[in-house]
Amino acid sequence: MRILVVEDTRELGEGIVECLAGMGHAVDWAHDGERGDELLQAADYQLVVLDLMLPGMSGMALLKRLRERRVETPVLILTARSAIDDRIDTFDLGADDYMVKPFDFRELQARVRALLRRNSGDKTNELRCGALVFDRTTRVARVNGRIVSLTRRELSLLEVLMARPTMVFSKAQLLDQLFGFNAEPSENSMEVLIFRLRKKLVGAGVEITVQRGLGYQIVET
Amino acid sequence: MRRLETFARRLPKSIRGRLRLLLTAVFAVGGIVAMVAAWIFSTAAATDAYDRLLISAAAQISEAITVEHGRFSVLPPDSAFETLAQSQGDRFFFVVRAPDGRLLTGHPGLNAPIPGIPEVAPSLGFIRFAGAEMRTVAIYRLIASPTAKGWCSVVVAQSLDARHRLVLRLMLKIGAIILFVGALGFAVSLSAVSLALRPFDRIGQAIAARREQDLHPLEVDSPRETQVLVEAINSALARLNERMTNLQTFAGLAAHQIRTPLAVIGAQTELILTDRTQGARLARVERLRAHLSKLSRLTNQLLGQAMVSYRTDRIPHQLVELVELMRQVLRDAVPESLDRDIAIDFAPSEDTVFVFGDSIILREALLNLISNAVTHGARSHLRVRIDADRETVAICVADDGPGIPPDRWQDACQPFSMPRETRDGAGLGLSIAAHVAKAHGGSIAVGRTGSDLFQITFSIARKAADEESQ
Repeated sequence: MRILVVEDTRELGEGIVECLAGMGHAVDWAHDGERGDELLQAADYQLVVLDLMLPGMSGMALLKRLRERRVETPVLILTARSAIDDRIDTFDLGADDYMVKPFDFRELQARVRALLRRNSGDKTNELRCGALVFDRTTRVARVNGRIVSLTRRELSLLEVLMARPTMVFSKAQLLDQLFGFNAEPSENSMEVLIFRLRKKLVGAGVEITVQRGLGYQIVET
Repeated sequence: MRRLETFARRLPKSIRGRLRLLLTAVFAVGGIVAMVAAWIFSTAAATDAYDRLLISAAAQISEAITVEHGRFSVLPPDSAFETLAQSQGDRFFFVVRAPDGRLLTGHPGLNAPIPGIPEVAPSLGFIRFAGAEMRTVAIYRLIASPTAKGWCSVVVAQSLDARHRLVLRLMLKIGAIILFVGALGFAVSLSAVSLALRPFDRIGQAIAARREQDLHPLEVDSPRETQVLVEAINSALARLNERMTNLQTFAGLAAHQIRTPLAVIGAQTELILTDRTQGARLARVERLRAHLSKLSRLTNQLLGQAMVSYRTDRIPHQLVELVELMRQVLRDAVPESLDRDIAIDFAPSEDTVFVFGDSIILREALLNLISNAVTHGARSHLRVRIDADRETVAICVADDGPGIPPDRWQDACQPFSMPRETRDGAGLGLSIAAHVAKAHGGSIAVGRTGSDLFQITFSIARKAADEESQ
C-alpha cells in the first residue's frame, strides 16, 4: 500500500516512515502542509498520516482541501493536544482516526492496519451475509438482531472476510491484515481463531469454509 | 428606566455612603415638610386670632349705629379702637355707611372687597389700600326704627404687620425645635449606621492584617448578625486550606512519580553504552520502551487531572448523550495493539441516555475507567453497562481481571494510592474519575458482580437533565 506521512518534526517523521516501511508499505514523507497537498494531488494514496500542527498550511486546512476534492483516502490524525474539540473538528472534517502524541509505534502500526482493513472492499457501514449483520461503526455483529459476543480479533477477522464474501483469503493474508507481517501469532493461532469464530456463528446462516491449500472464505449456507 | 439605572450607578458604592445619602434626603425632606406645615398652622393661628379682634371691633362700631330724627348716625366707641390697638403698630381704617350708601363716618375711599348682599355674618377678605395689603371685615346691621329702616354697613381694614410678626415669632420657635430635633435624629442615625457597620470594618481589618499564607479561621469578636459572614468566610478559608494542602501533597507525589521513571530512563540509557552483547542491549531498549510508555501515561493523566480540576465548576453543564460518548471512548481507549484478545460487551439498554454535564471531563473520566480496565484488568472479557433510572445514571465497567484487592477499596480513589509494584499505570485514573463523578453529583463504587467480575460503578445524577428537557 502507498502511504503519505505529513510531519514536520524530523526525528518523529523518520520514526513513522521507518515504522510504516517496516510493515511493507511504500511511504512518502512531506515536511510541510503545502508539499503534502501537492503530493496528494499528484498521486493516489491508500492512507494519509497527518500531523495537525504544521508550519504554513495546517493539517486541518490540508484535510479540508482533501475532502473538498472529494478524495476518500482514510486520514489518521496525529496531535499533541488532547482536547476533545480537536477530535470533534477533525472528525467533522472527515478524519478517520486520531492519535495523541506521544504514542506507541506498535499502536500506530495497529491503527494503520485497522484503517487499511476497514477501507478495503465494500465501503458501506453495514456488511451482510446470510442472517449475519456486521456494523462497522459500532463494531457489533448481530444475528437476527441478537448481538453475538465476539472478541476484538474475531470481529476483525469477520470484518475482513465479510468485506468480500466468497473471496478466498490465504492464512498469510489474514495474519498480515490482523497482526502485521512480522507478528508472532503463528498460523496455528489463526486456526484456533477460525475455530472459535465458527462455533459462535452456528445458526447465523453463514459458514467459514476452508479451501485446501488456498485459504478461508465466508459463504451463505 | 435607563435614567433610573444611570442614577443607581451614580449612587455611592458603600453601604455607609448610601445610608448617609438616604438619611440626609429623608431628614431634609422631612425638615422642609415640617417647616411648611408649621408655617401653614402659624399663619392660620395668627389670622384666626387677629380676625377675632377685627370682627369684634367692627361689631362694636356697628352696635353704635343709631337713628336720630330719622337719620342714621354713628359715634364709634373707644372700646372699638382699643380692641384694634391690640394689634400693635398696625394701621387701621374704617367706614360706616347708611343703607343707601351714604357715608356716615370714616374713610370715604374704603370699600369691602366684595360689596355683596347684606348678611348677618361678618365677611372677611383682603384688599390693597393706602399702599399696603390689608385684612378687611364687613358687617351689615339691620337698623329698624319707626323713622328709618335698613342695612347699615361697617367695613374695617387693618394692615397685616402684627400678624406677620406673630407668624415670624411662632416660626422662629417652632423652627428651632424642628431644627434641634432633626439634627439630633440625624446625628443619632448617622452614628447608628457607623456603629452597625463597624463589625464589617473589623472583619475587613482582620483579613487585611493576615499574612498571605495564613488560612486559619478568622477570630473576630462580632455581633450575631455578622457572625454568619464570619462563618461563611471561615468555611471558604477551610475549603481553600484543604485544597491547598491537597495540592501540595499532590504536587509532591507527582514530582516523585515523574522523577523516578526519568531517573530510571537516564540510568538505563547509560547502561546501554556498557552492555556488551546485542541481546542485552535489546532487552535494555525493551525496558526503556516500557518506562517511556508509563511516563507517557502519567503525563496524560496529570494533564487530564489538571484539565478536570480547571473545568470543574467553571464550565456550564450541557446535555450530554452517554451511549455515543461511551462508543467513542471504547474506540479511543482500547489500544489496537493490545496483545490480549478481549471481548468487549457493550449493550446499552436504551439507544440514548442523556445527562446534564460537561462532556469533556465526562469523557476523560470514562477514558480512564476503560483504559484501567483494559490495560491492567480484563483477561478476556470487558463488560460495559449503562443503567439509567429517574434520578441517576450508573455506568458499570466490569472485567474478569484480578481487580483491586478488597482491603484497598476504601482508598482506591486517592491519587497514587496503589503500591508501585502492583500497578503499571500512573495511579491517577480512578482519582480523576471520582473527581468527575463528584462534580456531577455522583460517586464511584468499587466491588464484585454476582458473576465474580471486578466492577467499577461510576454513577452521576441526571436530575438536572430531566429538568432541562421537560
